[in-house]
Amino acid sequence: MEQATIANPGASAEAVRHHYDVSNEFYRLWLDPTMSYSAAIWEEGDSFEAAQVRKLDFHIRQARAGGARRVLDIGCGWGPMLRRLVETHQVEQAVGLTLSHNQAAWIRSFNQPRIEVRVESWSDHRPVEAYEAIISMGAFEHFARPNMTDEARVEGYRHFFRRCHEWLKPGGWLSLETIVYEKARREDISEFFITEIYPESDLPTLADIAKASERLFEIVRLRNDRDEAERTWREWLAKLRANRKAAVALVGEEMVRRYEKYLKLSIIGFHVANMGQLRLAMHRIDRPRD
Amino acid sequence: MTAQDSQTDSLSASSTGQQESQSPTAAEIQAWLVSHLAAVLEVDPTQVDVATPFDRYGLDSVAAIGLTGDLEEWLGYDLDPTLLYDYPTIEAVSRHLAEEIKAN
Repeated sequence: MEQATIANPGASAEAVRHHYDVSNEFYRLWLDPTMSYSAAIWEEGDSFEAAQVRKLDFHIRQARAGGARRVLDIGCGWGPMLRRLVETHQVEQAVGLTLSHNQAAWIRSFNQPRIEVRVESWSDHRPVEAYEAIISMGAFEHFARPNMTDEARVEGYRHFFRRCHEWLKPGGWLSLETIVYEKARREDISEFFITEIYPESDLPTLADIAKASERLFEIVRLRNDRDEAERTWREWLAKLRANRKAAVALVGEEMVRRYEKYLKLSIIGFHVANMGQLRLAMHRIDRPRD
Repeated sequence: MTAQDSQTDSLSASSTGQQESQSPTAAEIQAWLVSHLAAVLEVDPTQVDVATPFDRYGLDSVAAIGLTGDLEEWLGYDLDPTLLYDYPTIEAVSRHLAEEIKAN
């Protein structure tokens, strides 16, 4: 596909690696067995793992990705969605984008020929052909930098939605999940997040997303699952606490403390509604007026 | 002498915290929190009011998890990170913890 090169408006690859390339074994100690690194969806009686799988299926349904020929997962993490797409939902080819070499190595170890993982940003992606569906969970949080003006941030997000629009076949769906600012303003967010956890990253608001996708995507459904985000982060903290010794042996006391602090602050953030957890079903507008 | 010292002396608690000693009462937890918050804020303990919400003392979330972490160390077990938000005064959190300890 022909497309102009644009400067990536979000966090640099190096900044993203700072968080995700700590150690696969370390993340394995506190994520669920699918290695999902975003909020789950529980129904009564669900284990943590079952709730994460339920969440994967939710997005697959929402993006109409089941049985599709080609599906793109932007910010694919350790690949739970890619696996679910090809192993359970008869997708012919699932393409995942990540900036983390560790995550890509993890996914390649599946030896799954229907999965293609690429270490590249959405802004560098040049698909050989269009996708039937696009899913992105927990990546949009890295698509803007702190200290951008509101206009620059929305414009950066709009570049992203334009790309998704170009890559999708007519009538295609984008299922998007991201943490957003709710009660908090940018200045309320602890410096700790920017300096030690998610460098060069800033959250969107719902209004940013609505504005940036205007006339490109129709927002058909919207859920705010803040309570499920809180519950997910609590599960992770409990697992990290339970495996603390092994975690310290792997990455050291200081790193474990840093992650405990990040998990606790996030739990508080969701609990008091400083942050929300949005899930959006977005339908491609096939003949946009821009 | 801080409230923590007197607590340790009177109960002969081990260095690992409270779990091996007699469980603290609401009054003891309250005394610990007053002296601890006073130290954090660098004010005299008499200036700390047990009925004033934590956020009025300018306690942000980083300070809140710091305080909760110190309390965890003293009590010898993990606490809910949102504890100081669900029980937003020294009085409320002390009463809650004492009841929880009693129930367990």
